[in-house]
Amino acid sequence: MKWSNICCVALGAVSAVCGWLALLPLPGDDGMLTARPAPLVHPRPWMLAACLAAAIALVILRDGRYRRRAKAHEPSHWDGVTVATMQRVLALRDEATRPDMLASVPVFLSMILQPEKSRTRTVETISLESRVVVQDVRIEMSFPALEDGPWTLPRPEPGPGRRPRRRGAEQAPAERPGGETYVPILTCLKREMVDNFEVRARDGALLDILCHDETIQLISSSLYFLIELVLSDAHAGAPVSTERVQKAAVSFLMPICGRLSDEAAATAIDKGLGYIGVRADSPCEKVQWLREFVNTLGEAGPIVAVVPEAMKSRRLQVSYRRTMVPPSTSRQPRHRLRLALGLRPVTMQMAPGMAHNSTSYHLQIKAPESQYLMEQTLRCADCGDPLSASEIETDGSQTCVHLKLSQDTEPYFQLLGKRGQNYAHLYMRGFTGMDWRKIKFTSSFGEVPPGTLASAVVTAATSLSLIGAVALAEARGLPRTSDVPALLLALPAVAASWFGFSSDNEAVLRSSLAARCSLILGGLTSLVACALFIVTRTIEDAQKADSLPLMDNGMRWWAWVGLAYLAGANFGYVSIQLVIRSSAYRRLLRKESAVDDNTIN
Amino acid sequence: MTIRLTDEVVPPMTADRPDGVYVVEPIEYIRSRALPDLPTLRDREQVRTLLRDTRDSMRSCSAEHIAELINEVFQDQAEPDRTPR
Repeated sequence: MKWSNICCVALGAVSAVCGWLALLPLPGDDGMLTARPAPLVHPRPWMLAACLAAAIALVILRDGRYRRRAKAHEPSHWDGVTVATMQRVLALRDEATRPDMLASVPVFLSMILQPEKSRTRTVETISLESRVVVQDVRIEMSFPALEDGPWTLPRPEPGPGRRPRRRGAEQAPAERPGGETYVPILTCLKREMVDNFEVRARDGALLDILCHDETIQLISSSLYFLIELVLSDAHAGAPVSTERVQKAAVSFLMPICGRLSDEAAATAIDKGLGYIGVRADSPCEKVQWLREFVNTLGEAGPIVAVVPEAMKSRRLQVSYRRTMVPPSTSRQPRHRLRLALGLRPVTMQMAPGMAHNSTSYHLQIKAPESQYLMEQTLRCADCGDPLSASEIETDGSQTCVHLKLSQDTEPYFQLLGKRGQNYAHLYMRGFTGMDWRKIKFTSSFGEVPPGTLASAVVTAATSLSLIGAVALAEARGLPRTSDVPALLLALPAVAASWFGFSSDNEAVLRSSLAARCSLILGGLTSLVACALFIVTRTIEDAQKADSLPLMDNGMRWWAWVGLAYLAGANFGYVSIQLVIRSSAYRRLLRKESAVDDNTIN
Repeated sequence: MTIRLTDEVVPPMTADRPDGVYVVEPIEYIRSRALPDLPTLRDREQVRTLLRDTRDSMRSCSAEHIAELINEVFQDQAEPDRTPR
């Protein structure tokens, strides 16, 4: 065991033991309040403060250790790229020259760099499920047929040393009638992972996915193809040496095979272009394609499906799921309080980026059944202004230019109106080619009334009535004949615990902050009132019992009045919240049309 | 559809990660701008020639030679100011 752990355990034990001793009466020890000298120089408060300080030091110490452990790992400039890695990658080139592989290169390039041309529809569903967010995506795509494609090469005999396919294939491609086409269906960011990944043909049959080595082979072929494409323009009649082409390929493959920093990746691309005698700032479209290909695969890895050419339909359906716990950092006290009380955010923000990769795009954000859609906003990310249903940002410069569009033109988007449902639905069409980072979609949800707000109102009302009654009795000096009021005063605290803390379901996780605070405040007020009732006596009772009263009658009166006002304020605030939210929800239910002219807000 | 701006005053939100909000990023790499079409890819004969050149280029270097070239590329990368040879 480390010394720091031993110190923490020792400090904790001392703190716990001494803390209890400071609170308990000891034999032969006068009570703190009756002690002479006065309480300020009595050792007990100081003892308690020292123990409290020790406990705080313990917490800080432990927290510091967790912070040090949670320090983010900084990747190196050349993460995952070594000479051995590159040798292994380039050793796969022999298999990369297979006819099937080469014949798929144009489709591969086109679908990697222009995915919007092949994707007909994308449906993205984001579900808020307890403490996690689940993202389900379904993509329908149509890729070009290759049976009579312009780039089909004659099929030579299988080369020596060919290895069989790793996954899913029954026969080697060259031995199959018609062969295979390799179709990139998703370019997944390298830091991300997907679950439940499935690719289905139109008839529902599952398709195979290329393994990592096969994907690298396809990438190599495509890279060499792009280099030849660039050279066909840049050096007409002046061929570049083979060595320089190989070096360029190695340089371009470095960001693809590892995780290079942005700076190192840019250097690798510039050097690669330098090997083949192309200026780094060349405006040529072919160079742009080459640069973008390396940039894309430096950031993301393609998932490639194997499509048998015997398959009649050229349509695929891709579906996958991602489960995540999004970070919820917060600086504002209100949001920090939400997190501290165990509540989860009820607002979701996302850039509808996939709308820019697909002809049409549907985004659904689903909250639990106990929630309803309160706000939905499509905003310009630059200026933060909400966009109306007929207005869209089309300018890539820093100054925002929002254009008003007519109904029949593209791009077009529409939001489902708010009618008390628990989901937001955004439809977008014709957004390909626009700057996707400029648009943010935000939706926020609220608890369907009455919900936990009603529980908070009931608790607050109970607390107010009981504290008010006891305060009135105490203020009027009514004699105490029973301890039942103490039990009754504790009732709201029990109710608050029951309503607010006994379960950990969706309603509690995403209940309103007002309800949560009200339950806590109502419970605490009741507990304080109960304690006040037990530990204080009237002057007359104290004289009868021959002991000093903790408070005189005036102080007691003020304490009860203060508690009654606190309970009243709590009840008033939470009641108003309930009324406002209930009427807002009822207004939504009374709406007649499902889609409004302006459904943004 | 009527062209109408929103009546409600909605506060601006320019931060990428505003407080108390779940921010979900796409899992996929998304290009900020679409690439222009390449007419070459529609030219049957040109693509066929390029594929043939690609195949020849990939087969043109032995494994031993490529190992030497990889080492040279790594040396070049380590020195950003060095002119590629």
